[in-house]
Amino acid sequence: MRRSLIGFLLAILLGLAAGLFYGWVINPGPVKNGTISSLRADFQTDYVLMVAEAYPNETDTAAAVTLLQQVNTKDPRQIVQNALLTAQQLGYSEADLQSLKGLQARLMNWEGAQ
Amino acid sequence: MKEKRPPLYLITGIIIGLLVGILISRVILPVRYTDTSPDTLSAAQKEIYRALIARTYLYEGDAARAFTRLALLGGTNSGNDLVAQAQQMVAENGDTLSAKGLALLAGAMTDPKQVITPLSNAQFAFTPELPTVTNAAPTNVKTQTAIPPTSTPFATYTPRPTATPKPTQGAPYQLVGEPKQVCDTKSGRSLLMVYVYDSKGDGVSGVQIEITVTDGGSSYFFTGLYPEISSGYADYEMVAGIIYNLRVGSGGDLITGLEAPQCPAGDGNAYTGSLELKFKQSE
Repeated sequence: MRRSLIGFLLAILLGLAAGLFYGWVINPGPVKNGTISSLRADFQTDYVLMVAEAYPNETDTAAAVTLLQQVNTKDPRQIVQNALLTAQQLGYSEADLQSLKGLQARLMNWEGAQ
Repeated sequence: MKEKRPPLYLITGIIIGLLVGILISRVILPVRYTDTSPDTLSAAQKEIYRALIARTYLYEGDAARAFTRLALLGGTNSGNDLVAQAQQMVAENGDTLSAKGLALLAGAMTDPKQVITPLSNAQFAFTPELPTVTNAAPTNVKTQTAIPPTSTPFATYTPRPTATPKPTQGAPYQLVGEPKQVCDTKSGRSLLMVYVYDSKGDGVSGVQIEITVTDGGSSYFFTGLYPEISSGYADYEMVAGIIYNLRVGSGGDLITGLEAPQCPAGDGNAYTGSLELKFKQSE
């Protein structure tokens, strides 16, 4: 009886391992319902650049922060800093870099005012 | 002769484990992808992304870049998709600037020659801040000379005059002729149909139209949401008995006293018709 129970439990574990291997490795399912936070760094950089360009005024900063939180809920200024570094590596134009720097400056002011 | 079979409990255990494993790996703890592309975004996230593309288009005025970004989202991204999202945003009192950008992008799809004047970006000037020099041993140091830093990009921020939110500049739009009554029983709706043309007679998308009513309420809508009719077309559903005032663009004249007309029906009764107004930019 005891031997049967151990065998049963081992069989469950074996099946569980096989099921996990199938679902995580062999057939993990299509990539869908992704989030902006899971985008590749270059896409995230373009997203942050759009935020910088579409919200260019001091009064827009709160809205810009809300959009940046789609990338990461932690530190908006760090997100822009990362984007700036990636943009420099990818050879973004000077105008684009200035937009990102402008957003970073607005975030500094905005955080200071909070 | 006795046939030897594997114990049934082992097969049962494996099947149970397998089902639980698949449930965990596909539903409870599915694979989380990283380094994805925008076409994998959920529908809601795509809407955020698309609205941002449209709003950026207003500031950049670069249709090619906007279309490239839209293409990253995959799918059709037709003008109709943009229009539908713009209409939804307007209906939900969402970001009107993004809605306007979506309408303009939809217009640019149907009319590739369309050129917009980008909204002016705020300009930023970075004034390096001189570092504060503290004297650790003031008795030993007589003078201190502040050394300007070579790279302090974000030391201070000097705001310049704010951006002027005028996507297109030029002469105001003027009403051409009188409002025309349209009695059409097919649509079954009472519409205020507005056509906006530039001085050459081409439809202009993305023009803001302000509607006010006598009790003080107001709402906005934009041309370009129905490119299949005209890139300069917009409509607003009227309610019988309410008098509307309308202004096209920011500098146009206020057209007052607009009311849904009563059209004669064949059976002697009347039904509520539509009004058609055409505006043209003066030379």
